[in-house]
Amino acid sequence: MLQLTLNDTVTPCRARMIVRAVKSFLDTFVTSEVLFDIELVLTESCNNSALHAYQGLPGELEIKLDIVENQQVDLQVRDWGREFQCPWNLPETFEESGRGIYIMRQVMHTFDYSRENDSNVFTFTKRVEPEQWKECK
Amino acid sequence: MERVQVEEKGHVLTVDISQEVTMEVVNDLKKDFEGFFSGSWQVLALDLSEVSFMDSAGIGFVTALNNRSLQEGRIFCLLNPSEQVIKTLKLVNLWDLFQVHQSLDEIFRLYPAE
Repeated sequence: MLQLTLNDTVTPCRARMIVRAVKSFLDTFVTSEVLFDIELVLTESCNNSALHAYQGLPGELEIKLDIVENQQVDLQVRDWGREFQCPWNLPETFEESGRGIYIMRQVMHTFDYSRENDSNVFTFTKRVEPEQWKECK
Repeated sequence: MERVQVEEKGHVLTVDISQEVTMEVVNDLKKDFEGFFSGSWQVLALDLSEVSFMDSAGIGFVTALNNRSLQEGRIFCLLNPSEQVIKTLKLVNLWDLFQVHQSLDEIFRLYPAE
């Protein structure tokens, strides 16, 4: 198993940059289809931390990535901001916000949110089919 | 660098967004489009052919453009959206909400000037 831990300060302007760094690392291992899903979920999760947990102010963020080769990618995103109220369902068609959590649940095989010791923890698993791994041996 | 490329041809305003449409740029895009809505165009064609990534903030932005166009009695459509945009809109069941066209010729044919 290969592990990556990234600690950084997240802001609304910095969230995508953090995601791009993780994406660049993952690009060595999985195909673009899997990479797209993980990038989307990480972006939504970092956006949540920046916008909702820290209300747009700079705050600590930790991303843990476990690559279990030929099986799955496990992700954990943690911040120490305000507790997050998960809107589980898809909003009405014409609503202009509130789709982030739905996206996370749709593209990952497992999704969990918990509040642990004053931190918000999002945990995800993406199962990766044998043909979706890149030849990187 | 310009965030968007704008072309007004008759009653159709085409806005080309050749960048990611995400939380970090959506507020700036909203300011750009606020100005566009003062124009007299009847059809807004949002060219998303070069958009490589869109998050839920981007989805909200496109939905807001659609909402406002409808409220003002105008037509809003997507022009040749990229595969990534299509996939993201389908993911949140919004693909069927939008009029989607592959070319400006198609738009002029379907929505002639009143």
